Amino acid sequence: MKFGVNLGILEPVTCGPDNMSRNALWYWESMYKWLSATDFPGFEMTYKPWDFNLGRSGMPFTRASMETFYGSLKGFREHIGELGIPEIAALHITAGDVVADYQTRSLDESRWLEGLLEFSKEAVDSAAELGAEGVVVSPVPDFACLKEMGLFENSSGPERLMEDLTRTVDRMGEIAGQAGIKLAVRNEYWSLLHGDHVDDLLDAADEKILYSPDVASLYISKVDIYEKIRKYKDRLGFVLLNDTFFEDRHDIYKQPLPEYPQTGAQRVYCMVGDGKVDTTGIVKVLKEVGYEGWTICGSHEATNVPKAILNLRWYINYVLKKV
Amino acid sequence: MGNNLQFSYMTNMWGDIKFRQVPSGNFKEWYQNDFNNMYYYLDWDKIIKYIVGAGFDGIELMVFQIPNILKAFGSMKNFKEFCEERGLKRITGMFSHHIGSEDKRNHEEIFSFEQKAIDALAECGGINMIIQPAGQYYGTGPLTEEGLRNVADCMNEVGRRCREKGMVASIHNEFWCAVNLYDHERFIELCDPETVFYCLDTAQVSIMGVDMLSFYEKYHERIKFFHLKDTDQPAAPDKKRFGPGAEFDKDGGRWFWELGAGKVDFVSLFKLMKKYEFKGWVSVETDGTPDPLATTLLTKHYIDTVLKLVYC
Repeated sequence: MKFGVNLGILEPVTCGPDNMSRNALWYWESMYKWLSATDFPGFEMTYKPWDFNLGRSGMPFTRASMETFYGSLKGFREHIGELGIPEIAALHITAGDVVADYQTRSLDESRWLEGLLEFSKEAVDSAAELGAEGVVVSPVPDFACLKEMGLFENSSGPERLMEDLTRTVDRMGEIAGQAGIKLAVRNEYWSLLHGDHVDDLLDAADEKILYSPDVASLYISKVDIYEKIRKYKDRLGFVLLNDTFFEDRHDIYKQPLPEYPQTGAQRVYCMVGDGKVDTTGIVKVLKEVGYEGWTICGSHEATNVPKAILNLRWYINYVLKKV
Repeated sequence: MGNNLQFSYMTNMWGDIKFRQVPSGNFKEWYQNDFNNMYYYLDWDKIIKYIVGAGFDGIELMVFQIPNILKAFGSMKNFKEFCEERGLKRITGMFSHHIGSEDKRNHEEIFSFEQKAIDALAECGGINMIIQPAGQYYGTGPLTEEGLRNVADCMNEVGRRCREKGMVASIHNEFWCAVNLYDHERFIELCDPETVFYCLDTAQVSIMGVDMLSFYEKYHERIKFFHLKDTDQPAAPDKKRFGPGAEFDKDGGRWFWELGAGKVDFVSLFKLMKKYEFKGWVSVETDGTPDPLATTLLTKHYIDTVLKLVYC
């Protein structure tokens, strides 16, 4: 089992001091050195469509930003290798980003699945150029977004979407496979695929499509995480090991900005080991089922990123590796 | 003290704020285990209070903030009321951009994008769409004559749409923009003086190599808004301005500073504003700072103790 880091760790929720420095190249250069210094062999990258801020900034989240600052994706890959990070585990793309891109560009957002397929082609190409092992996709925008687009106005809407989604994910898997890239599906608690609903997709999709469990989301959705891991033991990939103490008492998962609840408890994610997810139990089950792939650790909403990285390394060395 | 000027604050340096309000009862969930001050930097509630507390009457928004404002508040009108309840008098403007405007084929997409921004700003009572007229110079500039005309055509159409809503469009010319030192004034001349005005960003034009005071003398009738910020790098060389991602210095260098910390002659500018009897909104930007709250307070102190003695 290889422990990597989700660069989502570097998207803290705070708007405080140094917030905007995350647009700067020097900030990311520092980050790669922190990850190298703490012996992380690789990371999962957030990968997004071009936009005004991301396209010209030092955040390596778009093709444009990597080409702007490193000449090419290969140049970025070589650079982080020289800094001491030998691998890139995967690129993470989301349908939510595709819908947001369509809305920004005033395109017909009801055609977001086509957009997701197109964007996944770009992501697969980028993954290949970066030498990444896979692409992880969160294939459905959040509930509130789907509601806004009228999905639930017709009782057959969700069922039809699942059929279209299955075809799209299968096609994405074919495209990825042809490029030698693994494709994995992730299901957040705010997704139509939340909790056990991911089974609807995975049971219908090609078995080559992997499952990337987001364990904090599974905890919030109140499903049996161990059972889920055992069920998909032969299809696991890029397991997201993150943590939470959030209890969804107000159906936040159906509301806009589900990761930023406007009422009740408001912090969803915390540093790995600080929350209520049985991370050691999960690692134990992953070992039991013989999982040897990437385990991506995430501390999304970390308010102090260097501290979060150091805490993570300590937790892996002195807690998780002792399981 | 006069009452010719009102001061507004651009919220860009606070980023994309997700929370409407994080009450004190939730302090613990952000503080526990992290033991830092981030609870104070999470929500519109506190940030608006900081800005009003510093003595600003207005704020400006960024176009990228619209989606999450709508999600958190339900409507721009609700957001406006939320701000007013905290003592803010007006949401004055919104920054937007016309990436790709040098190519006419992109105009329809830009107009659709801008119409949403115009509608959002109008809903919250704004008056000024502040617009970067084209993308970054790197990869785009220098513009051909046709390209420059296309950029102006795009700006004119958006200006017309703003006027329909009782607002104005104003040019905000970044030092790293495809429209730059060598065609900046030509661009202004190509824009419709009835619908397109100018927001004088004191640092941006200075870095670009423009004599800010002469520029104001020449274009004071077009300059309806200001973005005040300082710089210690006036007339930066082309190579720096035209490089990839020029706005974000790759080594951590800083282009922009608090008023009075750089080389921009604000006192002379305010004397000219007095001479031409400028009346209206003057905005402050805190770009480049690692601590927007500190820069906000330092800037307001400079306004109160230096600039208001010249003209206000």
